[in-house]
Amino acid sequence: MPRPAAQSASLYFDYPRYPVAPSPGASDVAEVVVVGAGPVGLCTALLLARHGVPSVVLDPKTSVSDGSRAICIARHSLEILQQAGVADTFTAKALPWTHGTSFHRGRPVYRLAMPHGPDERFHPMYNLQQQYIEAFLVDAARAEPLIELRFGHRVAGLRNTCDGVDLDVECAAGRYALSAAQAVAADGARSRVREALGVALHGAAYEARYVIVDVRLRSDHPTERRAFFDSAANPGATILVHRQPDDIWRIDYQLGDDEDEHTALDEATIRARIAPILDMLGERGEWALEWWSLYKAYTLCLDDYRVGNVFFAGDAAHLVPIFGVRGLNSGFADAADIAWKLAYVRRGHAAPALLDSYSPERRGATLDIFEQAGRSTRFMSPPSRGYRLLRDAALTLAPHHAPARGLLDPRQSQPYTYAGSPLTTPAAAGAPLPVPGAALFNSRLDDGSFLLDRLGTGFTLLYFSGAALTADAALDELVATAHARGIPLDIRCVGGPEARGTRVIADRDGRLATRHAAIPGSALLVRPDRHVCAAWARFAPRTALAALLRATARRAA
Amino acid sequence: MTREEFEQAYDGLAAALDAAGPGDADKLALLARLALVQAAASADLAAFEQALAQAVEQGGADDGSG
Repeated sequence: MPRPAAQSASLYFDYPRYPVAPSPGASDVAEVVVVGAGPVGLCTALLLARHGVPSVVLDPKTSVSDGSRAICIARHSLEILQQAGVADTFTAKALPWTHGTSFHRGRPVYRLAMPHGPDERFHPMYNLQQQYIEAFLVDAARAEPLIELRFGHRVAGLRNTCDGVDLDVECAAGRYALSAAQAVAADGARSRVREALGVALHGAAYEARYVIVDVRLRSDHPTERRAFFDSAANPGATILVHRQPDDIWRIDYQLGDDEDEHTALDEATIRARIAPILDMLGERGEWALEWWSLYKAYTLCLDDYRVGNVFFAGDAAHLVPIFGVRGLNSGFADAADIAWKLAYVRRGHAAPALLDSYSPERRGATLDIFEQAGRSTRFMSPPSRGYRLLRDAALTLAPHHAPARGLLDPRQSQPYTYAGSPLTTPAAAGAPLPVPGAALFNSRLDDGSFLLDRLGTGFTLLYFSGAALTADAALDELVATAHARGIPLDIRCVGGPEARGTRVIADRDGRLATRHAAIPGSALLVRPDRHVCAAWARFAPRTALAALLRATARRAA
Repeated sequence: MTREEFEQAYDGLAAALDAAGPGDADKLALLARLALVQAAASADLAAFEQALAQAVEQGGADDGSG
């Protein structure tokens, strides 16, 4: 359970108090309802607004969540938050990092180095407390006319109807009925929407337990991930240490099998556990306890992320182990996926069947996370003697044995590839990269800007023209056909020495083409959420249109 | 050997060690290290797991010998 102290006791964060929204009357209608004003719900609402779709966001709270909770934001999440218009606020406060060190019995045995270079706008990882994440998103949502935030409004009931969703909502003024075409349930691990619809999470639980503690401490140690296996401060178990803004340090320590949870969460016990850890870290300064909680690893998810006209996202849909920082990051990816699909169906840009692709894509991502995070969890907290022997063997071998070092890689969160999605057109050999289904990677352009900044809210055909721009007529034909069918499509031609308007991206020395393994005439079709849905070594309007229709759940003409 | 294959080998070796019964801790730790190196070298894992199980059983018989 989280620390029970009042939010007003926080050593560094002034919890905002948001006004309770007035009741709309006996009944109300919304286009889309988002249940939950946490990071995933707010991100969904902001992305819906980006596509011009209004939403009503309901949350019984009148502030942000208590405690730092999810603190690691991956690069791909920042790219999503950039689309939501809030990335600059995040990077101004968050602490970027690229490296980590693993120690075994006090000795450094592995150095994590996440790929990072000048082609990236964002660092591979940022640390930021969830209170800030939520507060920044609330500020953005409050400034967005298409979002109506209703704090102090609780969902008491929810039913699917033949053409939408009916909700019973409680607020200080009483109860009212709210109808919507669709709802996104982003109301967290204890989702009331899940309960109302009679669906449950299924999966497994791991036995290992961690106490997660925030302490305030002034230290010059750089921002990195530190993992301590079998250290003097926690013999036989594991410790993780992360730096957060405002001189706050996150310390996760694994409990022994015989440790009582109630006693472990007692303040005096926590102080007694933290002191030797800080001593091991070489921190001799004064420190203060800020917040603590108990964590257990789960791999749980719904059988289907869609129930009628309700779409589950974030912890309401899945609970994943923290190792590899996939919890909130996969929630942001859920938001990016459902937002464009809802918007495209609501605005008639795609067939309603597009919404059927949400669950296979995002549940597929969850199952992949279960595989990856399950391995990380078994390494961090071995579930049996055999796993412990092998984990310790890997830690012992790591300094001198590359394959063993690979086992220490914490497999940090990466965007999932929707290779098997019904929206994805498989590519033939010789097609440019990334493969269909993967997220488009960023590149720094000749003028210093970034490729992802040049994409709009619709589909984008990235056409590699080489030095000669010879396909204008065919590209114009495709755009005209797409627009005639109501599908937003922009063209970006890559090639030549000079940019021309928004359409032609200069690639003076062919560096961008090389990064994509592209030859003149090849092309990538990119979805509104920046995942590639088709790739060709040689672009042709007919096949491109077929892929576009497939990606909008329409039949090819 | 791909990373995926190596990780599958890791799971298989863990299961073999779990199934092998008690053994001398130092010998088991050494065997686990050898097993990982062997796995990474793409050895015949099935044969190695069998040998490992036998070696662990012998390790158990040596318990207390130091």
